[in-house]
Amino acid sequence: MRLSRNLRVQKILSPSSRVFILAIILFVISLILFVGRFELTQSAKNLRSYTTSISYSISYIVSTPSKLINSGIQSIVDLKEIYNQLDEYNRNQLTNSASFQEVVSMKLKIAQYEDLLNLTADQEYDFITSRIVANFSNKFIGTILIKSDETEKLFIDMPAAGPNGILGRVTSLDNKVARVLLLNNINSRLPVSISEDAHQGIMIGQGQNNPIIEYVREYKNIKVGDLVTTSGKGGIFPPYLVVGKVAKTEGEKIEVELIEDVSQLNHIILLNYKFNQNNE
Amino acid sequence: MNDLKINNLIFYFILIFIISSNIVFNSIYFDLTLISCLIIYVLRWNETNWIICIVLFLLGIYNDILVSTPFGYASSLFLCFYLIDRVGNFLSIPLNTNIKFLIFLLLMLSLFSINYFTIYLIYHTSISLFINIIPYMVVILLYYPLDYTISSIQNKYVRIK
Repeated sequence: MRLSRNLRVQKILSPSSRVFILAIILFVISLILFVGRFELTQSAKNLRSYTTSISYSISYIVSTPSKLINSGIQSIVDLKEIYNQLDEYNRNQLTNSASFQEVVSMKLKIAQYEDLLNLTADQEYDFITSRIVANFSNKFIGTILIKSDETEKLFIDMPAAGPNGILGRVTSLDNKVARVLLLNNINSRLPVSISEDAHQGIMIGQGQNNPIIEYVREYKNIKVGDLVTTSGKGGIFPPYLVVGKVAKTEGEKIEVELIEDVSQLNHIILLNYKFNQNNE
Repeated sequence: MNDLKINNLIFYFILIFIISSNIVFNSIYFDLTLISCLIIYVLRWNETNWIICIVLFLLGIYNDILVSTPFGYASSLFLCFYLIDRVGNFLSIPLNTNIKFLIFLLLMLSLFSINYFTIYLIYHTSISLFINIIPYMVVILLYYPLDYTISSIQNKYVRIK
């Protein structure tokens, strides 16, 4: 009886069983972290902020071979693209010279009309340009990592934009890298204004799919092709920045095609917009 | 023993390399976290080495910080695949690659379903079924080639020993 008990204890305490038990314990801890949504706590946010640049530095060194392969492939693709663009440019050169005159005269006319209507100039913001160092936009938790130097004045919830429109906002930062939550991220919520009639709604990220706008009262008046801009409500994003255009409407569900494609960008603009300072 | 340690170190480095490559590759066809899971599953780990569990846990956290997935997501995946591999070992499943593959296939499909329904229920978002199933299919297709490659590397080490 005693011998069998000793054998049982030995079996439980055998090295392979101990490893198995340790694996189960760590698995349970991981599950608790995940299911308990530990990432929503302030300590998790701080931990993520402090460790992002460390993990980025490690991955930057370790993934050097991948980077070399990727940049080689990218260079070939870019070279092909340049040749295509050169052909296109040569073809359009003649027509462009005529359109240039037209554009200049149009701009002069617009300036005259604005002067006549006493229109105020568009609101302008200071901005910082930052380089994209890692792109995770193809996942349903779409984010990008951008370079952030200590000297630059970045802050949490700083609006990020491309040359044509809004991209997202800064969610975590330290002295080396900052993370930008993109508009297609399933956690993203953005107050928007649709069409010239300024119908209000909230745009919600849908991962790899186009974002959708919800809570629009006058959804029946929305048409495909209507411009979607930031409404400025919430105080994080400035108003009247282009987000995209309505791509599809299905009852109350309004699908938006974003104007910016982050995979085409190397740099982004971070707008120095603070609601309280600028509007009070 | 030393060979085994070097062998493990090589695979730890391969896993770190794959996870780190997330900052370079941004493709809808390849999910490097799933590929890491596949490697963990097909590898024949040393049964008495407790460091493996700790390393897998830390690698998971590293993956979560880098990719910005919720904390515990990748480590629970890595340890789940490791544990199922260990249970399979206990039941002598590694002798039959096809059964091992079938278990992996079922795991991948259930993982996809859990992911899909979690996002649907928690975020009220129905992510594209077609786009999101592609990385899972790619990993399933990679099973046999990767299993063959890793087995031949590990058999080489066993022969040396």
